[in-house]
Amino acid sequence: MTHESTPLPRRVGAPQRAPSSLAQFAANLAHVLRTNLLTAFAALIFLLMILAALLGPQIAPYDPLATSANTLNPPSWSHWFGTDHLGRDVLSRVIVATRIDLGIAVSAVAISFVIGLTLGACAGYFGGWTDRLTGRFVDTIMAFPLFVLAMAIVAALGNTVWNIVLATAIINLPFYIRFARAEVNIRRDAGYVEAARLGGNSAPRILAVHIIPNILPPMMVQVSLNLGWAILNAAGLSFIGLGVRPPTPEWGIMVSEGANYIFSGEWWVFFFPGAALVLAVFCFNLLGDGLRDILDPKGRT
Amino acid sequence: MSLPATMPRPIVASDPPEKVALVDVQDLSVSFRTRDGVVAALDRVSFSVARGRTLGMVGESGSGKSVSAYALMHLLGAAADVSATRMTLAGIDLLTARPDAIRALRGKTVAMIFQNARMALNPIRPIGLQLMDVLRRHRALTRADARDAALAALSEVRIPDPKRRFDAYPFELSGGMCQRVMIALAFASEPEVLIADEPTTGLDVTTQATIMDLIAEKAARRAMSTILITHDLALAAEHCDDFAVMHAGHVVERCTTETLKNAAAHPYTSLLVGATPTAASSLSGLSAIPGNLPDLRATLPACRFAHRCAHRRPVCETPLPRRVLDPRHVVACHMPWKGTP
Amino acid sequence: MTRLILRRLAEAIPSLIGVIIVTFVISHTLPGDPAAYFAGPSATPESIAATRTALGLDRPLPVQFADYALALVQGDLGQSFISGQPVLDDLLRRLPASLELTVFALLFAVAVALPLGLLAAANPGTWIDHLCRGTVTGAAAFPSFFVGLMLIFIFYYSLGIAPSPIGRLEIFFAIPPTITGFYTIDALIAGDFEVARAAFGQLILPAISLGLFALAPLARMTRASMLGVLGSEFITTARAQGLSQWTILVTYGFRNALLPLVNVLGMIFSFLLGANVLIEQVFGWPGVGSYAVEAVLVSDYAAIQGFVVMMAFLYILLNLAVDILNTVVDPRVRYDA
Repeated sequence: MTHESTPLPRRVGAPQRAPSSLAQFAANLAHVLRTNLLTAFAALIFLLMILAALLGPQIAPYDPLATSANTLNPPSWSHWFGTDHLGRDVLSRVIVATRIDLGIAVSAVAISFVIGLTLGACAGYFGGWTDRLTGRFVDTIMAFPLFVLAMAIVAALGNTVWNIVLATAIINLPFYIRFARAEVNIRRDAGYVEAARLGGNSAPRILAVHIIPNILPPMMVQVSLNLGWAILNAAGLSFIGLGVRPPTPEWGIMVSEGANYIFSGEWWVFFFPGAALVLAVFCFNLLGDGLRDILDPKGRT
Repeated sequence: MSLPATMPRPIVASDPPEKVALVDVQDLSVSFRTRDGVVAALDRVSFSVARGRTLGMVGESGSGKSVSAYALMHLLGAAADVSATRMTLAGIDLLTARPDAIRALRGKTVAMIFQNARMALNPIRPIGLQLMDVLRRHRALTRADARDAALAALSEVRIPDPKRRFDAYPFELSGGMCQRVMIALAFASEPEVLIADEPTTGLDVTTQATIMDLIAEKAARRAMSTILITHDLALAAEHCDDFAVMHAGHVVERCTTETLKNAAAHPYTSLLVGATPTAASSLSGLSAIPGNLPDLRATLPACRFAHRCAHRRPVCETPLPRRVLDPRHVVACHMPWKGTP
Repeated sequence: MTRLILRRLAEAIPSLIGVIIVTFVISHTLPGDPAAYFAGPSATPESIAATRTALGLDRPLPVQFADYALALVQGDLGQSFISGQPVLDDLLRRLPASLELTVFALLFAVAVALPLGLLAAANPGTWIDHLCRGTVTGAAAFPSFFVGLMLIFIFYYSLGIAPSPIGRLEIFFAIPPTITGFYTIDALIAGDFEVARAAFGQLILPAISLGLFALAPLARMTRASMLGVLGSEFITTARAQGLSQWTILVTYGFRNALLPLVNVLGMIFSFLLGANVLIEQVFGWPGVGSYAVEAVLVSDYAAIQGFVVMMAFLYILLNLAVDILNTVVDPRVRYDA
């Protein structure tokens, strides 16, 4: 008996939804984008952000570092997002900041992902001491409120952008380690893995060639969702003054600088960088949800 | 609008007790609207159970036995389309009664016990309290009286040491004991109809026998109508008076137990009987039923068994008749046979 | 039950040890000369040398670790050079402010997320469902400090409804006598409703800013959990037994749906304790978070270290509380191993 209150008759030959080829993946993708406008919208924003990150300085209307006498001008036709307390164009700074913010988040997630995947896969595959040690390592990190740990790491290692990346990467590790471990554990005794083992393949080869490619799709979903979280973490660190220093344009410190001026009504200084943050995080969250729908339509919460 | 139904129709003295059908279902059809299309789960299913008799609904998993029971109790969700020409329970016309009148029947006039009792009970609530919930719902009892009644109910289903077991959680009890609790819950308010959906699946043979005896004993004491849903033909043959054999949402044969054992007229029924092990049979002597249940989302032929039937003829494509071979034997087949094939 | 609590406490000890080791590693294996950090920015070579001897930084590392661990156990978190006070005193003085903020943020998140999740679960697939999910997903994209600033701008600057965001209580209100350290509760205990109201008014915007991010996981989990429970077999049984709608939804449905929620709490506490720092910055809240930010910016290492240890300790305690809550709510857990 199933767990549903309405017992459905057993369905013979229900169609499979998992993409088995590139063509089917593309078809699924098109279907999802068409039926789910939000995901399409997120994909569009994502592309725009990549553009801004890559071509920022070229497409920005003004030099993001150029100060002027027009301080604290409200949004106008010449300055769409207004100017800040040093007369710099907010729009240009927001655009150029994309590179740093995305750069920090992507680097941190990439490092975290690679190391976490490796450690988690080994823990899940070999079990025993590898698993126990990795577990202890993860538990130690998770014993701290993660943002606090990031603060401590940056405080200890020094107030630089690279250390922000490192700190964000470290606090993200448990996430990937656990996920990779669980996924590898499930697949460890699957038929095709047994076959590979019997065929004389070494453990690293089995992991690299057979198991890891299979766990990449669900991990991609996690990466996308994680990118949003990483951006928030990095922005939080820079908001309290860690990492990026003025006059570098970065969304977090721009909000922090702008915070002083809300009491005199100059809202645009803090608002637009903040809105950029929201847009970026929202975009990555939606993309993650969309990816999840493409790969496993039944998984939505 | 129809007249509101309230009390069950009183049994008139002139009605012969065996003839009064407590459950009467004619042409019940149920289809589900799902993401993959419309599933025609039941197609014109008819069965009836007289007072004091037990009907066995048998067939493979997925044949629609549980769906029929759920339809009777109005437990199907909003995605189900239910229609019938007649559906009465203890005298109440379920087709025209108000929803709250039908809800009032559940647990009080008609009770149901489920397969896998441990999963069917609230996992984080002591069984004693679950019993009290049902008791206080259907009888006006104070908490103290309900507690006594619950303890009494537990000893009635022969659960040892009821006082201690009262505070137990389902996961602390064996499968058999959980099923006894289910039975106690079902009988908490002296129902007139009992539906037992695979009550013994998953239990060991000895426990199966004790559970079935318990059900039979309680049913006999109150002259209830019982519907036993099971895929275990041997078990059903032991405890049922009549049979409704189901296949892919059709009732293919309705007969008495005697007829089922000796003179089954539908090819599917005889295959089922042939596939049922008895004490005397050997594994090699059993026959398997070829083929599978059809996909109920597709457009289906008139006879849903035809593709598995060894005796298929062109006439089988035409709409199924309902052949009345004798007052207690109805077959849905173009070419039923009597005696051995 | 007490045996279970003791066992969980024992299981928490490795985490505590891990925390002590990690904080030691972070603060004592710094690049450069730790003594200079601990002596402060205005230190002379003499005072640095003196600090080095005083803190035992010239001793071998294992000895330093033993000293450090021993000091921690005795509650000695070192001396802050900003305030000149023992770090522990500083932290304990400011802790109630942070706790009050965190508690109210959690209350807000629960009060909004649970009904939203239940509403979505009761109407799956409808516009209500999509609206609830969309709202909480949207809320999860906002950095908490940004929400705080926006709320200040809208409600304080533009609309003038909110009080000035300069801390727990405006100057012209008297701080109530300390019993719990929570201004709201202490004021109520003292019978001073004016102050209680004022303190609560100061709390609203920061609590909302802090709790907003927690809405998403709570609401999603409530919805998923409730949907799962409503579709389970024992609910069908309950309906078949004719129990009332209310009994089914609340006693059989909601109580069972609470179980996974308790587990989400752990993750939420991790977030709350971290984001506390940001919100205290925005609202000038005199809690441990703003203390830590000051300390980080001037490299007051004793204070930073003390803060991290205290937060980790608090977090371990909270997780323990969540574990115990789990065993209370779910009887099946009591019998595990």
